[in-house]
Amino acid sequence: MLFKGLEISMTGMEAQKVRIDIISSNIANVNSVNEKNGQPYRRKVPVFQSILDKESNIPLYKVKVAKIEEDKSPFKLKYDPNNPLADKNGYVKLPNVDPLKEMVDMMSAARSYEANLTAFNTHKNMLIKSLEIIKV
Amino acid sequence: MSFLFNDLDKVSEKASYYLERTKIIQSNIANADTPNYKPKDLVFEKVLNEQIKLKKTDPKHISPEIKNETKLKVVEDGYYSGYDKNKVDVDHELAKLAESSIMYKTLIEIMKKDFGRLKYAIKGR
Repeated sequence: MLFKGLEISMTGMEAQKVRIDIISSNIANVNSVNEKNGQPYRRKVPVFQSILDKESNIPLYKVKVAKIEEDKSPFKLKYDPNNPLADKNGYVKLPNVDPLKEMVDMMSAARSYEANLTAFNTHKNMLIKSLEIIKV
Repeated sequence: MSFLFNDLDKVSEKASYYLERTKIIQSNIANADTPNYKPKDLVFEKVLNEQIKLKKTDPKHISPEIKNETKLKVVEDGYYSGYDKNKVDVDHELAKLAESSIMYKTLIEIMKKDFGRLKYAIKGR
């Protein structure tokens, strides 16, 4: 009960870390084909979900990554007739990853992580402060 | 408790309110990217306690004392609605966090002073 606040900020930091991992994987696979079906790589998106903490008497919500979904937007097409993966008209399908979008997402995730860290530290300092009472 | 710790009771009640409020703010910040999440806040409100109603069977009976009671109430507060239906404004939450933290620390200092005064009175020097 005493460390609930720290636990909640921890879940926030963990979720943002998963988000950064997924963004890294998207950027790394900006030119990849899928290993199973040979189709281009589809961009992955994490879906966050809030979970009510039932042990607490006030409504505290933890956060978790509920699932990782695939972005259904269309693939990019590039004219490259010499590529072995090109179709009859000479077009190659490329993954629907936009590096710019990923960078913006990454900035947002890093900022959210920092905000959670600040909240964590503030709460920790408050708990340490209350120890000073017994020093009187 | 006795009159000796009367003030301390009130101060510690308020301090625990700020600690609980900090937790709620942390939960808001953790859910800053969760779709459809609405931020919460905790309000400290005074309620006149009229629950205690004892039956008087004799006119000489003393009537029950009506006390001011404090209660914590959870309210929803959204300031800003983004495109993903999430109403958490992280700047605002961080500001509230700073406020809560400073108030908490101040109240702890007050408690320390109170205990120090008691100690001084006991020791006499």
